[in-house]
Amino acid sequence: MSNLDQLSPFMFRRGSRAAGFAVALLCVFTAMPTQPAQAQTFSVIHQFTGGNDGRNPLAGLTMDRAGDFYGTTSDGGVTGEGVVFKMTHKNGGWLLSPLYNTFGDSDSGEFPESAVTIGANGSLYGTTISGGTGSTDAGTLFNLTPPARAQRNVIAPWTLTVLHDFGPPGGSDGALPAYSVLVFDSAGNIYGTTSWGGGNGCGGNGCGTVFKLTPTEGDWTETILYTFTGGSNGFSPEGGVIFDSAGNLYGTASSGGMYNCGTVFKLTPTGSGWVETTLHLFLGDGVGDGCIPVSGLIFDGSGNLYGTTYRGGVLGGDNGAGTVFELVPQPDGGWSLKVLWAFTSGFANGGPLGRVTMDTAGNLYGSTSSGGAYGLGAVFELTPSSGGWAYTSLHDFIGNPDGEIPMGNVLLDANGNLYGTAEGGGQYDSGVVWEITP
Amino acid sequence: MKLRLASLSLLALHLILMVVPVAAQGIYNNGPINGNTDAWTINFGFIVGDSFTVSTGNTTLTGLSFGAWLFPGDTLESAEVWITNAPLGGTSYFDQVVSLTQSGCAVNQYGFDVCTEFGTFNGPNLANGTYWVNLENAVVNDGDPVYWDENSGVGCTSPGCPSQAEGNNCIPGTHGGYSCIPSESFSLYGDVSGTTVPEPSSVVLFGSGFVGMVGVLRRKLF
Repeated sequence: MSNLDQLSPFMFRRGSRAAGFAVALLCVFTAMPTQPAQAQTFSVIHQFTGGNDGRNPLAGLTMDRAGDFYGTTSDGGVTGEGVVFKMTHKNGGWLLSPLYNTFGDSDSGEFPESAVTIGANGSLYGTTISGGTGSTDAGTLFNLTPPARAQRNVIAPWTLTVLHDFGPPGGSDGALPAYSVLVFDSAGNIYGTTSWGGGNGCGGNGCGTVFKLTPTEGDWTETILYTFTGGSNGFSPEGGVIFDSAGNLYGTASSGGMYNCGTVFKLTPTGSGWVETTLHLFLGDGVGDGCIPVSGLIFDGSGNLYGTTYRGGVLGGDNGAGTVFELVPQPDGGWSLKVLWAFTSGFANGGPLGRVTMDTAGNLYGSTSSGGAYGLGAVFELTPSSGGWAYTSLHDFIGNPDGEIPMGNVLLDANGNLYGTAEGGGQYDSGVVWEITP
Repeated sequence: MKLRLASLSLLALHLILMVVPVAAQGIYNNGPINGNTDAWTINFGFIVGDSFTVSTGNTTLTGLSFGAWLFPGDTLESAEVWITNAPLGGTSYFDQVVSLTQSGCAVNQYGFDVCTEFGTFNGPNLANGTYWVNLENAVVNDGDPVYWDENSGVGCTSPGCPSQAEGNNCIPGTHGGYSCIPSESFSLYGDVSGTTVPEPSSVVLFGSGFVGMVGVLRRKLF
């Protein structure tokens, strides 16, 4: 199965959409012309060889306080089932250390597709999309801890502990944590999403869950906070969740809803559990508000949400290639969606898959998994401009040696440098890690 | 008559030159650089020792080459070379800081510069037997770590190979036998029996000159 085949369960579930449903939206169809690429410097800082260093990084990068990066590849490594790696800046170059590259051994799970999250103790938390103890084969949530003492060799594996085995699909537990980026609350509990599981709806595999893992006396206990049913609340949440300051959770369901284009949801803790509210129901081509929000969300300082859709954004037809959207809370408690940018011609077959990143000036950065000048994906910047947003291409991928199909989030450091991955292409056709300096 | 005497003198001179040191020969070779599996720290208090066998009789070690993993752009300047009869200790035959020259660098899949390091020294005279070459206190221009390339003796060509290896502060027995780590890529050079056997290229060079000289003398004498 290729990585694109593994891309998302939603691809196999999308039903036909009803058409012609008109809803008033505060969509801003950006008619502004794109701006030419600025004088950015793009460089590949690691070419994956497909060997012990890994192959096919689907997720984006995570940065620690020292400015080092952590990431995953869904393939490659000693067992060919993925790698968690660290990148360190040395003498103007970059060194890659495979922290764990023997997935598949000891029921550790297989194929890490999500970014890792750095815990309070400096250890890493992540998920695999399959594998795990027994026959569930529905993925794991793992913790990687560094060696207890200073290591004397270059290849010094971290210790992997499986905190939870998901599944099986169709059961009450979640399954396939896909691209779920994990988050912690202040008590050290872990939150995430699974795209399957939580019952036998949605064709028998379940419609997905939002889960919580609580540390209890050296072990971890899972609680399903919310189970998607495949109805109007959508299904297949893939991008994880984020907190607001009040402790509510926000995320996206990549499919389902009235037109099978997905939803943006909010989970509110109550005394009797978590209550789901659909903040936006994507209607797709009928109104051009976007379709299939795979990525997770981010907040700006004013409490507005930003996200992306993989398709849609064009009014009518089925040729929309995704959107970047903003959800603005309204005085009446509702949320209003604005399409900040709709990817149209030149972005066929799919747009952004990763979550966007915002700088202190309010500019947004992201990537598209296809399109761009060469059809192999692009890194872009959206800048507020005259009441709308202006698109600037920061890099258009050509495949070799710069990589192709960037799928993860774009990381912004304090110096304004952007970092990310491209799933394929590169010198060894195994993907790259790239850097764009202003 | 004078020409004959001159001819004999030149012949004697060449025979003497045959046994004058020209270049060291290979004494032990644990195989070429691997460059991708792993590498072990040889500074910041870490020592790595690899065994080697002398099978050439009374031998004076004069040089060492080994594979090193370096941070990008680093230059390995020197390392302490310690030759013993046991891993990381025992009887010490030689212990000196050896200046190194670096060549053949290539970037590996992890971003390290993998280089061949070469150094010469006036080493110990060793009888046949098994010894250990221990590397430590390696120095690079900006104080970064230095790692000795692990090759597990793949491609070794000498009697007694592959080497066993040992490191201080590591977990014994991890890799079986003596060692807690796999062995590294290195070669040792030296002079056998107090003389140096010339390299083949030196023999060819000398031989061609000698034949030419004989030809000249033959024309002049006969």
